[in-house]
Amino acid sequence: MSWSDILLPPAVREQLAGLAAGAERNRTLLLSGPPGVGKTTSALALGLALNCRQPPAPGDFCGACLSCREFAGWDAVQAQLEQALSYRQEQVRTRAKEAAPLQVRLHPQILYFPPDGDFLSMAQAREIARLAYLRPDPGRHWMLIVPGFDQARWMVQNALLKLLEEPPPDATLALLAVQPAELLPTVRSRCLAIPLPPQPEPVMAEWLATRRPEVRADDRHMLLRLAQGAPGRALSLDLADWRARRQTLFQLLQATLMTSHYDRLFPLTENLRLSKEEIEITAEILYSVLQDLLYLKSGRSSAIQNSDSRERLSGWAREISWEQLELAVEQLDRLLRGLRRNLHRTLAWDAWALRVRMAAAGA
Amino acid sequence: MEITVRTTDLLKELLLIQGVVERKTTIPILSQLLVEAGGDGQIHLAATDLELAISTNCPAKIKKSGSGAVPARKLLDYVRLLPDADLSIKLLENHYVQLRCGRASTRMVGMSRENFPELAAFPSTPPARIPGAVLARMIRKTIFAIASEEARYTLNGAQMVLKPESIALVATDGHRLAHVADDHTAIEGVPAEIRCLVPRKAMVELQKLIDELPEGGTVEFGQDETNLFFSLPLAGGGRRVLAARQLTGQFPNYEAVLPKDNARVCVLPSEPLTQALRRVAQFADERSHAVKLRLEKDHLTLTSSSSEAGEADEELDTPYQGEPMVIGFNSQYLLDFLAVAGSEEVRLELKDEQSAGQFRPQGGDGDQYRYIVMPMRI
Repeated sequence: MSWSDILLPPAVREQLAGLAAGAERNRTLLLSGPPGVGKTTSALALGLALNCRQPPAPGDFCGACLSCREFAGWDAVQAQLEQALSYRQEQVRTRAKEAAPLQVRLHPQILYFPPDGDFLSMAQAREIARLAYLRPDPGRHWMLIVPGFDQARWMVQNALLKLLEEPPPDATLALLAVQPAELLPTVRSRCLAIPLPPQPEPVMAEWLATRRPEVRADDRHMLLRLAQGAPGRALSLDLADWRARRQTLFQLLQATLMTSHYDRLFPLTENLRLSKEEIEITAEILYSVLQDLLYLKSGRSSAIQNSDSRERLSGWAREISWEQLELAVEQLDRLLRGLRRNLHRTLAWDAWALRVRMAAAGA
Repeated sequence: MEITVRTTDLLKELLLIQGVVERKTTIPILSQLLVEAGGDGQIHLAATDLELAISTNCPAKIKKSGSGAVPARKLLDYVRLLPDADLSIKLLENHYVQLRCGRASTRMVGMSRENFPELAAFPSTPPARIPGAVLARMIRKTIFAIASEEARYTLNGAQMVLKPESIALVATDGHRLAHVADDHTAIEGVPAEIRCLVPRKAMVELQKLIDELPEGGTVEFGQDETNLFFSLPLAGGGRRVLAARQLTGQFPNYEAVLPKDNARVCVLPSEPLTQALRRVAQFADERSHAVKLRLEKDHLTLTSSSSEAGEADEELDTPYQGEPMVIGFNSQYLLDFLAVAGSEEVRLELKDEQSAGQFRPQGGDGDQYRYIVMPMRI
């Protein structure tokens, strides 16, 4: 395994390999891009390259030396995170988040600090700084990866400012963000920004054919569209689950747009009384459907993501007005913002359906 | 692995090792104790929290060599409940560990030894040899001045300076500085000056290890590019080794802030000063702990006041002959020094109200001990 085996935009790959090879390293990186585009993979690969004992080329990693063999694996993050959380739940009962800041050790020098709950906690920020100022093992380099840093509270971002300003020579901090604009300007100005753009569809198609050969060609095509250039998303997306969730949403959309009976509406929103994470997935599916309706209304039918439901969506696209479509998206944005403030989940969907329904009735 | 060990022997080592076992962690292997049995009649125990690592030995009868990771806290809690007797420890399949003592038996869930972090080995270069008593005394005199602020990591440890003919330890938190040097003790194995930053946690653990050292025992010191190593001999053979990851960064140039011309000197009896400070501090502001020291001919007056608690003052006799002056200090900082000064009298050396005050023991154990405190505006 080396940089060439990782699907990344060539410019990004070269930049990261150059960072690993360079004597002068910029040690605070801000890797940004949509979910699944390769931020975590890039940071892990950079961590391996910085620690590789026998790099095949400057800035590369071999995947076979002692250091590379100590790596837990590209797919180990989720399993280790679950293990860490369950271990903490069993062992650390009192003020667990403060006492045992969540961290996952993927390599002796590569540590991963996922949001503890919704955000990175202050205890995690302190732990990151504490580790960064300790010397790594001889000849090695700390790689501290902080995903979802754009979600971190400003107070927590501020707590890391000094470290971002002057990181110790033996530590690299990789901040990962979907929306880098959400970060404090003082954080952004201290980091080397590395945006990761989505992969072009032909590149993704070729890559996905080798990584998920078991998927049928038409499903693979749909996967490509839904992944929107994000390799991680194309790998992890479960189409059967997507379709099952979408079916519930199709029923709700049908009732909202086409039915005047409110009594049919509310039992459907009952089905969406889900956990916060599941609502985010559901909202993502709904966004994709609404986007498809937009494409179909504007005559770009080849661009739709839910290609297996083209007929049904085409029918709705003829019925729905531009204003309704705009309102549906606006109300979905509002629903997601409300959920972050602990809005009542079922009532939030009721309100969404009612507003869109009323607009449809008004039209 | 199958061994038999005396519970008291094992308990002693387990208690010493617990300080570095990470009990509250999300990296499960760090809460484990590595147990290794070789063919030398000793078991080798080790624990780490990635910042510190302690390894030690314990005499044992070894039936079958091997190694495994055992939950450290659970093992300690269980062993301390056992009587002084032989305890047999056997590694089973799936990382289970069986313990039998008399009619008591238990099975613990351990972890794979392969997951245990690699421990750094004591460097092969000849070590420096520091008398344990000297090192313990110096740690006691400086540890309280180490910063606990997260933002200033280079102050989260004390600087140790080893020379062939002396040893010195310096700690500061930016408000005060404790500097202690012993010029009378030759340090063997130091060809040239060695400067290193010893983290506070390492000093705490080292102090515990030195307390177990026989009288006159020495601590062997070594370092590599990452770790500082302190190795202490065990009575029954073998060694206890503490490895501490070094802090990165430069310790501030403290020599520049050491007062040079503090000409107003007063000598005060340690114990009466301590008692008076404790009483007056009761009425000091709860956050600043500020007390005022008024120096006048032949006496010192301590005063404090807070709008909530009230006020207090107390007078002490001193052969002071200089100009009168008033200066404010954090009472807790002064009490920290007085607790470890180790002399019947202390010298207070001042320049003016805005400059740092210097405290020194008058006489005492022969250490060159200086404690510099920044004044407070009251």
